[in-house]
Amino acid sequence: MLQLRRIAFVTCIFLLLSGCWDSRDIDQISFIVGSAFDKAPDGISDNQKNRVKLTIQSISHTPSDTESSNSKQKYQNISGIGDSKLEIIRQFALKSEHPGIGSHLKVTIISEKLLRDMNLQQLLSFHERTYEVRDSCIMLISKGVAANALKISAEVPSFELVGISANRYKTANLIPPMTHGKLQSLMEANTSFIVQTIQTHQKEIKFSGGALIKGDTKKLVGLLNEKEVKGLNWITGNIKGGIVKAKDPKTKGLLLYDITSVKNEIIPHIIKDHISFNVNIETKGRLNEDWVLAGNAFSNKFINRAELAIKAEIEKEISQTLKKLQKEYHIDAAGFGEQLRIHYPNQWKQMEKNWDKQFGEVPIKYQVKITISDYMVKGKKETSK
Amino acid sequence: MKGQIVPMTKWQQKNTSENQKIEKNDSGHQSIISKPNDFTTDIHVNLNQIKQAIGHNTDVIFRSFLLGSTGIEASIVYVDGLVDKKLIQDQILKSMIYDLAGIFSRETLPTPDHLKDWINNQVIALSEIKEEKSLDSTIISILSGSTALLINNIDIIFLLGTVSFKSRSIEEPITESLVRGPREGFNENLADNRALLRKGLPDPSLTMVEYEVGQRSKKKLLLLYLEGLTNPDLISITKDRIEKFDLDIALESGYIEQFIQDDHLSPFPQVQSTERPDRVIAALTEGRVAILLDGTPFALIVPVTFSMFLQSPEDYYERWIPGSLIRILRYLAAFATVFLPSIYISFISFHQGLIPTKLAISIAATREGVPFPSVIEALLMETAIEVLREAGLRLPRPVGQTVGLVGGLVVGEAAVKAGIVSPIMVIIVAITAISSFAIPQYGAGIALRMLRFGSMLCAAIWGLYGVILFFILLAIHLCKLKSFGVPYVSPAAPYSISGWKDFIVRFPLMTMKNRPQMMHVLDDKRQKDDV
Repeated sequence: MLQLRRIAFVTCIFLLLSGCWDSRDIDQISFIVGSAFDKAPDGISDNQKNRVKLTIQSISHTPSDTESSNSKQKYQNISGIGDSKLEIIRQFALKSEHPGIGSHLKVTIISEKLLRDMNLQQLLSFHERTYEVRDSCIMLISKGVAANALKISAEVPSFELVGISANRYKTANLIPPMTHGKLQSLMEANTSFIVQTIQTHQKEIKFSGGALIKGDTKKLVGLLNEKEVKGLNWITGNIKGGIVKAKDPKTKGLLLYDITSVKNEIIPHIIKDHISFNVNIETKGRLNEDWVLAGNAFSNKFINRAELAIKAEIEKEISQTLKKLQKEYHIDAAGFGEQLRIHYPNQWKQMEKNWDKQFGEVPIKYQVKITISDYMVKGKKETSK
Repeated sequence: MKGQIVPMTKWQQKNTSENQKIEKNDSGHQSIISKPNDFTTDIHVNLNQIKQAIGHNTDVIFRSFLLGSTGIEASIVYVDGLVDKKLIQDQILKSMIYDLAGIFSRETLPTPDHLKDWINNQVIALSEIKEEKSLDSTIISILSGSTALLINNIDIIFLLGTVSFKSRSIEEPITESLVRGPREGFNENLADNRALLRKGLPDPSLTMVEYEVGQRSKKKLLLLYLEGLTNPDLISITKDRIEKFDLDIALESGYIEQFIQDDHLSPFPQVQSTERPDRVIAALTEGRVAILLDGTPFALIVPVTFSMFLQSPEDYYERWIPGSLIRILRYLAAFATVFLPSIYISFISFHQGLIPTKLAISIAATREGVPFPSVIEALLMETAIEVLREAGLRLPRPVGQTVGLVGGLVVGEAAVKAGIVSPIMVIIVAITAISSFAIPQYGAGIALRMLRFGSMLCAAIWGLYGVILFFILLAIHLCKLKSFGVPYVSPAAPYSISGWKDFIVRFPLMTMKNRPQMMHVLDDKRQKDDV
């Protein structure tokens, strides 16, 4: 009995002394769902250079059942200028009622201009350290002002951006989303990589092209356009869907190849000191639309012709991308180095540091195998022969 | 004897196994030999003795008559309402007054011994007849429905078994109704309940030991087990505990339960109570001990494990796949009963990052304007629903349902409209309440509902960490708890693989060839091995 009383006493002490520490009800905090980094307008004095303007988007609390909530904006954007992210974030406590939490941060947008000057790892070091930001938070690069992407006309712009980045099953022009987790490992490994870029135009958004980020400096070095991004996706095999537009060489009619699957393989070769790569791409798809009036999907001749035309188109895309990567930017963002590391770990150690430079000189062969397996529901019986 | 229910001398603690009958008519004779006689040969003295003890009660009826034409004075004493009057008229009065007259007359007066024999053997056609010398016993017998027969010149009293109490018919148990399974349940009559068990288990090894409980209530208590199967240690522990406690009255088996349980501070019931004979029979064949008390339909089963409270006889009556799934569902419901509100509180107040974004946003929106922190809100609603449940229980059935409906719908809706609570809280509370009713045993349901408040408090103070602490605390307590020597969370805690066949999932019956290992039975084969 005495022991029981003692236990009860200790429990009471625990309860009373600890109170409800760290307890903050869900309606007293605001969820930060998006953040955008821009270059701050230069100040007059020297220490005001290289300052960052951070815009965060948080969800505003509105009672769900009131009628006015439909017309009201569901989010609010706040901006602040400072040297570090943490500094700016803490400024926001002076600007809004509810302090934000970052566990629901979905998207980080960085302007191209800022990243050309600034080291990405330094910029995001707060993200890297805090446990609040989830690994699933994605990063995008904005061609214009990053904050504009958080103002596009959508219910909540950040969610819209995340939603679009998941549309890879419909288009081949999207780069797989660069998540916070993936970004960290790439930066730690000093690997070059590519990040999806976006463009805003009067409250409208478009995902177009990619930004190449150099592994050692962690700065943006160049941009790829949409077509080049698609070419890159062919090399990496990161295609889940999308179309290839080609022209029928005989009739000059349009052929549209709807990609259903892509298998690819990058095989590195080192013969003596000579490095080369073979890229094998196998793709299956269907002929979804053709503007070739004489074409007949049941005729093998026509299909072969179509396959050749599409293959040529794909190869063109690949070569264009490789040219840009190898000759213009000298940057390996397609994972060739990774394959080399896997197959020739010893040799890789020696060339790891200079790989981006070396990559520009490496011959790369590619083979595309294409199968049109499906012609949808249109065709005629082959009458010839 | 005073103040204790003693495992009385031989005639009271009757071992009614194999060849002995349950009825106590045959063993009445030897018992009184050693006792001093309270009665004299004078009927008036005897009658006065009884009258002094209980004569002031209006329901005690004294009826004097003469034995036919012999002119011997005789008298019967009984309690109105407890006896079968028709029986008394037909079998006692009629035969004593008329039939005796044909044999004896005023001229050929029988000797007292002769008369005794005649009454015992030829006159009274009742199955229960007992000769009694003790006044106390006589009075208790009269008060419990026997008829006392006094005859002049005979210094003993005949106690005739005329008990006829209107008992409820055998009905479907209300608290444990099943979709599939026998529809009969125990009633308040011990003889009926005993018969139900005999009918269901006509095994000669079924042993019933009788006790008398309550210094004043003098209720019969029956201890049942299967001789040669049940672990003898268990039997002796149970007997020991029943013999030890002191009680004035025992109105319900709950009295017994509270005296024989292991830990009276634990929130968990350590004795199972049931209205279902099939449940008792299943427990007996598993090697458990059952306790029946006169005057209540609730039988007790010991020892119990935690898993038994989440099992329903239906698990075995249904095919094993649905049976198992439903059982898993019940475990989930039990978990939800204890932890759902606390997990909600900790998510809302501490770990908003763990909620999916869209859900978090909609919860935040619904909580906007709620003036209380989530703990207060939850405590408020949980208390309200407990009150509703209690109110619905107490009121007459048709009204009770209405109150539940009106209370639940109107108050809930109004509270949300008024902005005192958030709609999601109402959902959580409702799910919790419904889950708690999915637990087949009422007592276990109460225990879990009680613990819910503890875990809510922990959640309010420490968040998810507190909930985990609470869970650990609970686990420690459960592991420590024993019911009649059997660990409470077996087969999980003293791990036994074969026990898991009938734990969270119920394996097909043919795989359960052995009785539960934790019971340490003497005969552990349930099915032949080669089948």
